[in-house]
Amino acid sequence: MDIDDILEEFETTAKTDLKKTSVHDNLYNDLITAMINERMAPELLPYKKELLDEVLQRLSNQQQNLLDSHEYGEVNASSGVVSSDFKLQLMIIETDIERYNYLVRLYLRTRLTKIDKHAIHYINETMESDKEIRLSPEEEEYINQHFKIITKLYNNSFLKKMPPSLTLLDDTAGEESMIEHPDINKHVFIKSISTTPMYIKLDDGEDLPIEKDGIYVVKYNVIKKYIDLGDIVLI
Amino acid sequence: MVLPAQLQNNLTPSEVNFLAENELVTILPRYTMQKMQLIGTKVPALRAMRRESVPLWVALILKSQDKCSIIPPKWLNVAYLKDKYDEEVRKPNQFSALPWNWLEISKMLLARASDDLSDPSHLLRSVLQDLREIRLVKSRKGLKELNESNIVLNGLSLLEINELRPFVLTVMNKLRQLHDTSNAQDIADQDEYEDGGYDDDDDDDI
Repeated sequence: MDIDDILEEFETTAKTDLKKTSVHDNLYNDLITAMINERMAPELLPYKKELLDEVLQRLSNQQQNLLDSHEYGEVNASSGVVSSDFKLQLMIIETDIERYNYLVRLYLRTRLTKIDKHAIHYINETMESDKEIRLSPEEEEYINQHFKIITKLYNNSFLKKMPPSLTLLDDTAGEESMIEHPDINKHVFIKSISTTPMYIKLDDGEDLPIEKDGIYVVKYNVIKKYIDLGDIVLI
Repeated sequence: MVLPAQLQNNLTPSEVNFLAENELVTILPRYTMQKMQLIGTKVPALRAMRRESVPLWVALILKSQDKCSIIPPKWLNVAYLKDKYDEEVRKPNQFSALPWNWLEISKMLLARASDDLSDPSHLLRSVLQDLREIRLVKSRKGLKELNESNIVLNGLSLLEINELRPFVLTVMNKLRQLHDTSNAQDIADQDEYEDGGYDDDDDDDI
């Protein structure tokens, strides 16, 4: 086996991957869009299961390939077969993996922040079975476990010393609700990527014309559905 | 916190930079390399002196190893940027169309591939700085137009948006809250007034 074989292997494995899912022609851009949308939206967006599964699958394949080639490189280093080209290519492949890792991490961390912040809101939402599923199974497990631990901590440290009527963490009676809801009326920066011009209905009944590549600041809830459709991205 | 507060709802300049590194640029390779399949894209086979387009980060790696020269994008030269500058001056209420990542890309290319650029780098830097400043002044002036409903910011680039974002969003959200409370107040006032009116009628009847 020499360098060519290994590189060929890279290609064939990658090619079969590509064939399996031609849907994601532009995996990288999809991932970036998902990350930025998540980052800028005031509420948790539905988990991009297909995209993430695909990315993670390819990442682990590529990592395995990289390990194999490193092994090959080490074995053959003394004999002088390994050229600097080979090292350069490995470096590019490694950088590519790191860039994906970074994006995936950023995506998941952003989601976790929101989950932590509005824990009770999303727990209540997962209880209602008719709502669309936002959380991945892992996130759902996390949110429940984390909430359990937090409640226990609060109880042990101070809640047990308070009058029972004040100890409810999800108390909605009285003026203020104890549940923190995401504020979906927040303003967000948007960019239109749809090729056809369209109109967005604003709260006051007026229509806002949206041009392609136009940049606007509007309330999140009026453009929410266009994000799902992919006509608008948050920036 | 899982994600530090300064990273929430805004992108840092280094993140914008990261995103800009994905733009495709044209390179002129100086050596031959087989094509490579990366996770999402692939790097085409490189042959000496044949132009190929690759993501900027790949180009910068190759450049740092002296394996290629980067063909500067068509907007990155003094003449074109001067034109844009004049356009900015001519149209005081509008931003001229520049690439989405012009600040990042020009900065990276100036720092790491200045020998490939068509104009001397000090001239480029100065015209870029002029452009940046005039646009900055314009966007600051535009802040007067902030309202509680919506604004249009066509022509701004990603980095410029991120500079504005914290201020614009805070102000607009505060305006929205004020607007909502004053609306609610109006409705409440109206109800009260109407109730009062009926009371008067009652009094008259008696």
